[in-house]
Amino acid sequence: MQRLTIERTRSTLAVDFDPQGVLRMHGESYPENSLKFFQPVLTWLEEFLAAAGPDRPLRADLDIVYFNSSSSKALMNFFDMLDEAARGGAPVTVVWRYHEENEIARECGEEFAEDMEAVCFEMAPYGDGGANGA
Amino acid sequence: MIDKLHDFYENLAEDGVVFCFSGPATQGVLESIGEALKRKLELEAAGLTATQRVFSLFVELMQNIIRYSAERAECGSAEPFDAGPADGPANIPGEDCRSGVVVVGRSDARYFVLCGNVGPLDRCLGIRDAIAMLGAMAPEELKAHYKRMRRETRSPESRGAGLGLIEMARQSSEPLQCHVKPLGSETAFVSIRAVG
Repeated sequence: MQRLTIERTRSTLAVDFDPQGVLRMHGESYPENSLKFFQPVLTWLEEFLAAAGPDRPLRADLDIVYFNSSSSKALMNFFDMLDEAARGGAPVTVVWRYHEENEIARECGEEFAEDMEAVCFEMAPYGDGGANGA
Repeated sequence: MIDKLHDFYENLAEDGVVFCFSGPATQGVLESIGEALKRKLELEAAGLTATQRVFSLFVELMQNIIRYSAERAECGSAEPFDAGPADGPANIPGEDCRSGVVVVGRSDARYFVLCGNVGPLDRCLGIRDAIAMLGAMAPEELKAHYKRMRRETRSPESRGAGLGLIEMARQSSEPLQCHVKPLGSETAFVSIRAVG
C-alpha cells in the first residue's frame, strides 16, 4: 500500500495515512464538494482494511478544528468503516484532538464517539501550546 | 450612486453590520470572507466557541447559496426563470443564480448571520417549511434527527432540507427565521436568519 498524503488547504484537511496503520488528519474541512475530497481518503481506508488482517491495529489521530455538514457525512462514513473493523476484532483507536476552549469540536467528537460500538475513542483536549503528536 | 454610498455605509453601521457581501457567491469568496470574519471575531475577543459558531453558520448559509446555484445551472435551461420586474436585470439561468447576499452583524452581545438569494418558488417554500419543522424540535430531537440524516445514503448536495439546515438549527442560539418573498409565479427570494 502506498502512503496517502494530501496537502492542507484553507478548506480541506491535511491527510497522512501510513500503511503501518496510523491515519492522521488535521485542519478544517468545508470544501464545496466534500464527497469529492473524501473519496480517495475513504477508498484508501477501504483498501487498507481489505488488505489488513483482522487483528491489525489501527490508530486514527485527528485534530479537526471545524467541519461543515457535508464533511460530517463523509467523516461518519470514515468512522463507520473503522467501527466495522473494530467489531471484526481489529484493535482500533481514534484520538480526537481539540482545543480545550473549542466546545463545538469537543461536542462533535463526542457525537461521533456515541455512534461507535467497538472503536476505542479517546478525547484529547489541548491548550494554547497545540496538539502534541497530532 | 456615489452620493448614496455614505448613507449606505451609515445604514449598515446602524444595523450593526460587521460584514456584507452581495454578488456571485463562490467557494473562493466564502473562504476569503470567512477568514476575514474569523480574524474580526478574534479581534473582538468573541471567544473560540462563539467564533466557530458564527463561522459555521456563515459557511452553511453561503454553501446553501452556492449549492442552489449549481442545481439551477443544471436545470436552468429547461425551465427559464420568471423574468422578474421589467426594469430589473435580465435573468439568465445558470448565471445570476449564483448571486446572493450575506450579512454578518452584531445585535447586543450576539452575532447574527443573514443570507438571501433568488431560487425556484417551490424550493424556497420547502426551505421555509423545513425551518418551521426544525424550529418545533427540542435540542435532543434535533440531535437525533441530525445523526439520522448524517447516515442517510443520499447526497448531502441533493434537493430538500438537508444536513446543512439541521446543523444551522442546532448551532443557532435562537430559532432560525425564514422569509420567502415571491417574485412572480415561479421564483422567490428566500431569506434565512441565524444567531451565533
